[in-house]
Formats: sequence, structure tokens, C-alpha cells
Amino acid sequence: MRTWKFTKHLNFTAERLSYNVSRLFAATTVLLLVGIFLFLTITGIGTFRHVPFGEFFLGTNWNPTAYQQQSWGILALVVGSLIVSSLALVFAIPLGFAIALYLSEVASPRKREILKPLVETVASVPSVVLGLLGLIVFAPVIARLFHVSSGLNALTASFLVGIIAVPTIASICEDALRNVNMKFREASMALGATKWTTIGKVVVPAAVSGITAGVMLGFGRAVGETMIVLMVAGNSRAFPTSFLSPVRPMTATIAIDIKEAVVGTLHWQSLFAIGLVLFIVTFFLNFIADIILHIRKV
Amino acid sequence: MNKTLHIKEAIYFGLFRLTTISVIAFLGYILILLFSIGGSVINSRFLTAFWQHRDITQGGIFPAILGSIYLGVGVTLISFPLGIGTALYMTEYSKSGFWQRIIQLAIRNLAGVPSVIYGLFGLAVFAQFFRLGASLLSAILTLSAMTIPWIVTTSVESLRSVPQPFRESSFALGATKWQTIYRVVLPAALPGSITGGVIGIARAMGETAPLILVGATFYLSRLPTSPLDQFMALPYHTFILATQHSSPFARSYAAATALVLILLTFVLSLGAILLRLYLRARRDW
Amino acid sequence: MKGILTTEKLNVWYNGLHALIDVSIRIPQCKITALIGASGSGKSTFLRSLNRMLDMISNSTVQGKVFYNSENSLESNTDVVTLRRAIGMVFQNPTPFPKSIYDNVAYGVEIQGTKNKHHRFLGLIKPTITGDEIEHSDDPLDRIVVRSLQEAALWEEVKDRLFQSAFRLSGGQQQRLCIARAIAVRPKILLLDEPCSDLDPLSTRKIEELLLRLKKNYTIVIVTHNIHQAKRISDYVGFFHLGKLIEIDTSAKMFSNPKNALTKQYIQGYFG
Repeated sequence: MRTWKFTKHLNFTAERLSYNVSRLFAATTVLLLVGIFLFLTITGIGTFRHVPFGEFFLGTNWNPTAYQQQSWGILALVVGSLIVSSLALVFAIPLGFAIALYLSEVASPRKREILKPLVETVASVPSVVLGLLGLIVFAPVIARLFHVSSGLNALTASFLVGIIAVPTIASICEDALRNVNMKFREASMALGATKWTTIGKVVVPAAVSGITAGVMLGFGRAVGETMIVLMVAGNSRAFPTSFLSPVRPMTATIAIDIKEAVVGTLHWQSLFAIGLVLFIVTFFLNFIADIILHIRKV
Repeated sequence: MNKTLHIKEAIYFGLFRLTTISVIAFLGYILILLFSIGGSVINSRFLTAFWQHRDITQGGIFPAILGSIYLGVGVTLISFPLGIGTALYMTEYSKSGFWQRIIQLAIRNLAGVPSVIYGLFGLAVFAQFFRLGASLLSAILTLSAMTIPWIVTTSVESLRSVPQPFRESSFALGATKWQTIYRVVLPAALPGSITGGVIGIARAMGETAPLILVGATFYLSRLPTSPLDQFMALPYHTFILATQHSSPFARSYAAATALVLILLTFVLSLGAILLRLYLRARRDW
Repeated sequence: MKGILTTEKLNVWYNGLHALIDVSIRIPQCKITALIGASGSGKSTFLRSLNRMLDMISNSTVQGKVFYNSENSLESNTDVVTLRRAIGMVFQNPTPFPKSIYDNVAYGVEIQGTKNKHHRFLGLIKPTITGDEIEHSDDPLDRIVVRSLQEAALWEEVKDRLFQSAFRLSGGQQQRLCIARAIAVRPKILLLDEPCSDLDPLSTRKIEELLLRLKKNYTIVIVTHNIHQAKRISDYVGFFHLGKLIEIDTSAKMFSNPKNALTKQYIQGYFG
């Protein structure tokens, strides 16, 4: 008994070449991911020869360029990232979910075909442009609204980061809603339920895992945002006390400090260590979201 | 009871529609804002002259425009072949479900990696390790790494949408794998793949963080003539003007630069979307 | 009765399901052999094992022998490409390529190396040459395309729109196009898997008449759900049931007095 695999008709150079070249290219992408992780780790791990884990992760003072006593605590930076990203989700989830519902349940197929790509275009807006508008337009507004001297704080940043995260959440939630089997909807409507009730009681609960994945990936997008927070979040290394505090998330720290850090020094290595933390966080979020989405498909 | 439910439904659905329209309208709002702040700055000199360091009102952003275009072309040349090749392997050649999952996992994760991390990677590997320095090439390679996952995703989607009967008929006629791919599958999938890819290129051209890390410059006395030269780019230029320049006109010049950048990326993105819609409508299958 | 295509104890498993059981058959040359049987009886599986199209299904296992020209085509060193050029296949749903009518028919010949002179600018510009010019052209590919379309009784209907998309044709025309495409490479054997099941009666008639003409030069094996069709066109009939070949005999005998009781029941419509 022989099991059949597709016969490789690989006698010709074109066959062999195209097979091997495409295999090589595919391998490159896997190697890229591995490579990023490796480089971050190799360079970043050196930090911990001089800085104990506790100080790095729990220290609230980040001052690598201090004249005498440098400190390497990233907690303020991490909390800054968390505040901005979480607040961003507060804006992004309702907006993104509303859009997802509209595109998936309400809009006609033609409208959807036009509007969905347009929503995704919002994600194509260069974040530096949003940062610029944040600086010029939104920060002064926030400053006046909340009676603070400068509008460069976590709140302003999170508003703009939220906007950038909306397309991600909208897109994945919309896919999740659309993947809910037509039969569920039909059964509900046949029982006399309105569209609204069907959506609320049947479709959304069925799509919960996909929606969760969408939120997770939106959060990942928010955590990874650099330019907006760099320009608008205030850049203070002090531990944030409220959402009106100026913050310096991890991404901004890397972008700012890289100009001052000399290659090979502890400062340099520590920036890669922060990068490693970011990488692991987003990898983790993506991995879980991927599992959730995959379980659904099966 | 029924009536209130219907009213409720109408309100909510209307709200959702409003939300969607608002978010899209935000794009227009951005353009309007930029135009109001920096529109007056744009003239032919602005677009064609070199940057004047001392008095920015005398100069232009031509090197930045050129730099961004070079980046776009470079990223296209590298990421399209690698991306489409990977997608081909995943959909046409790969026999093992295991490797397909691994590659797909890698692609999904690469798509979620923050741009500043790509910047670190590019700095460590291309600029430092390969000694390419703060050059066009380093930036192109870094941005390509960022864009490949996107191209793979759109290409896989495009390849998978090619109906299986096309392949079957081709094999039944005695075509080999490569012949089938080259003559039937790719021609059918390429339009979708390319229009999707262009959107990825547009995004790459709008990225700033990798450029900060890999090292674009703010002021160049001459244009880059080789990939190893330093370069200027629109996003980085905008960033510096917005945050680090002392001239009183800096903000409006930043807005003007941003306007040029966003027009460039919008034209590419929207053009690709429209092209895609048009090709889909025209498709026989 | 000398067979051009014979199988010996052919067995096929799909995912553990024994789809084809010990099938030994001799397909007679230049005749129309119809394979009938209920859904799931293994007819299509059998057909696909004749030209190694089962290779495309990942969880299939094949055991036994298939002899074409006295060589077992199930050997791992068989040149599958050449085999498929000798044994052509037409599928149930018309499956033209998203190309012009001309390019569809020319495809099988082009991949063997003949150049297509009508391709300019990557096929983005439609050639302006007329059907008459092509009919009288000397170019080898042109002649093959014309000949195949004529043999498939499609030439008159398409000669003025050879370079339009094949999808503009009706279902029946598309299927005749697929047949033209298959015979363009001059296979020895033509396998058809329920080619008319999606078509209207008029198109079905046209294709049946086409097959009756083709049998002069081609050995035809047709899987069909339609007993009347089998009666109309076949010389030999094979009856499949639950993976086994129950009986095969001349059409006349099968329809008047089959040896097997099961065959009789199926033909009389007791199940299906």
C-alpha cells in the first residue's frame, strides 16, 4: 500500500528553482521573526549583568544619563504605556465595535465594500501626522478643557492612539461577526426576533472569542505606537499619577534615548532590553489572539 | 413593545452608521486641519528646492520627497518578491500543514511587532552588524522587513481566492506545477496581490520610528546618489520640524510637510483601493 | 476485447474509507464506455485514478495497477505529465480558464512548447485578427485551435469572438470549450465526469452528439448519473455500487438483460 503525495514533477530547472526559491523566501520570514527576537535578546540580556531584575522591572526611576547615580527602573515607563494603551482602548473599543456592527450587520454589501477599505485607510494615516495634529490642535484643547498648563499628557496621547487602534479592532470584530453562521441569524429571525435582538442575543455572544481577539490585537497596536506618544504624551520620566500626567511609554523611551546612547554601553543594552519587553508583550498578545481566532475557525 | 424595540433598533443602527461615517470623515478633517495650518507654505519652491537650514522660509523639501520616493521604490523591490514568494510557498507548494502554520504564525506575529522594534532590529543588524550605517539601504531593508508580512497576507488571500478548478483543469491537461502557477494562478491572483501590496508600501512610506532609529537626517547638502548615502524623508522631516525646530515658522512648515506626506500616502492607498474595487467588479469569476 | 486502458485489482482509500474495492476493468478502444451507479458508488474516484488526478487529494491511498499502453501508471516514476497528455479529462462543472476562448483551447498545446503568436504586452491588448484570418492561417497553433473548435462543434459560434473571455459563453458552450481544450492535445483517451449534469437538455444533446462523433478517434469513458444518457450514447456500460464494479458488458445487454440483480434494480430505477 502506497500513500500518495503529489508527484513532484521536478525534472526541469524551472520547477526546481521555483520550488526552492519560494521555500527560501518563506524560510526568510520565519528567520526574520526569530532574528528579531535573537538580536533583542543578545543585545538586551547584557543589561542584566549589571542591573538586577528587580531594579529593572520594579524601579520607578529611569535615569541612565544621570551624572553620578544612574537608575534603570522601567516601571514608570511600563505604567505609562499601560495608561495610554488602556485609555486608548476606552475610546477605541466602542468606536471600533460600533463600526464592526455597522459593517457586518447593517450595511448593504455594496456599502460595505466601499466603507470597509475606507475605515482601513484610517490605519494608514502616518502616526507622525496624528502626533503633529495632537501637538498643534488637540493638546491646547485638552489644556483648556482640564485647566492644565500643557495638554501634553497621557489623555491626549490616548485619544489619538485610540483612533489609530480603531481600524484594527473594527476589522477583526467585523470578521468575527461575519463568521457567525448565517443559520443562527435565520433561526432567530424565524422565531420573530428583530434584527437588534438577534444581534444582541445571538450574533454577538457567538462572536465573543473573535471580539476578544480583536480587542487584544487593538491593545497590542496601542502598546506599540511610538510617534504619537513621542510627540504628545509629555515625556516625563516621573511616575504618572493621573491620566493628566505627562508620561513616557516604553516605545517613546527607546526612540528618545537611542540618540544619546553609545553603542555597546549599558544604556544601549538597556534600550534593547526594553525592546525585548515590548516584543514579548506584543508577541504574547498576538499568540493568544491567534489561538482564539484559530479555535473559532475549526 | 414591538414599536419601542424598533425605535431602539433604528437609533442604534443610526448611531453605528454615524460612527462609521465620522471615523472616515476624520480623514477629511485631518486634511482640512493640515491645510489650514500649513497650506500657505506650499508652493513650487517648497516642493522643488533644497532645505535651507538657517532660514527655512527660503528652502524646500525636495530632498525629503525624493528620499521618501526612493524608500518606497526600494521597499517595493525587496518586499514584493519576498512576500509573493512566501505566499506562493504557503498556498501552492507547501504540503505539510505544520510548516504552513509556523509560517502563518510568524507572519501574524511579525505584523504585530511595534515599528520601533523593527527600528532597533534594523539598527542592530543592518546599520551596525552589516555596517551599512545610517543609509538608504538600511532604512529600505528595515522597512521591507516591516512590509513583508502585510504583502504575504494580502497575497495569500488573493491566491486562495483563485478557484481550485482552475488548477485542476491545468493539471488535467498535463501542465506541471510551475506552469500552472505561472500561467493560471499568478495571473489571476496578481491584481489583488499588487493592489493590497501598494497599501502596505504606502504605510511603509509613512513610518517614522524606524527612521529615527536607523538614522534619517534632517539636513543634506546634496541628494543621495547611492543606496549607501544618507537621506532625508518626509515623516522624519515632519517630526523634527514639529518637535525640535526653533523657527517660528516650524509648525506651519511641519504641517506643510505632513500635508505632502499624507497626500502621497492617501493617493497611493485610495488609488489602490479603487483599483481593487474596479478589478473585482470586472472579474469573470 | 483488447483494452487500451485496464485496471487490475484497483483499491482506493480516502481517510480510511474504502472507496474503491478490487476494481478490475478493461476499457475498450475507440468506444464509449459509460460508468453508472448511485452517488458515492466510486465512479468518479475510479475515473480520477486513471489519470493520476487522485494525487491532488492529500489523504488518498491507492493500491493495485492501472495499465496504459502496458505500463503501470501508478508507479512512482511514471511521468505524470505525459500520462495526462494522453488521457484527457473534462469535469462536471464547466471550468474554462479566465482567459480568452483562443487561449483556453491553446493552453494544453502551449505548455508543450508551441508559441502563441497572439500574445502582446502580457495579453493586455486584445488581438484584432479576425476569425477568418485565423481559419486560413499557417501558424501551427492557429490550426490546432481551429481544428479543435470545429471538432467540438463550437467553431461557428465563437469564430468571431475568439479573443473574448471564455466566461462570456453559455454553460453549454463553456463545456464544449472544455472538451475542445481537452482534445486539442490529441489525447488517446477522454475521461468525462458527469459533463452534462449542470446543463440544459439542448446543450446536453449537443454534447452527446459531439461525443458520438469523437468516438471515431478517441476512447471515451463517461461517468453519468443519467441512465437514459448512457442508453443513448454508450457502447459499453459499467455499473458501480458501493465501491465495487458489479458488472460491465455491452450497452445492449446491460439494458435488456443484465446478469446481476443489483444492476437490474438500478437500471429499473429502484434506487439511485
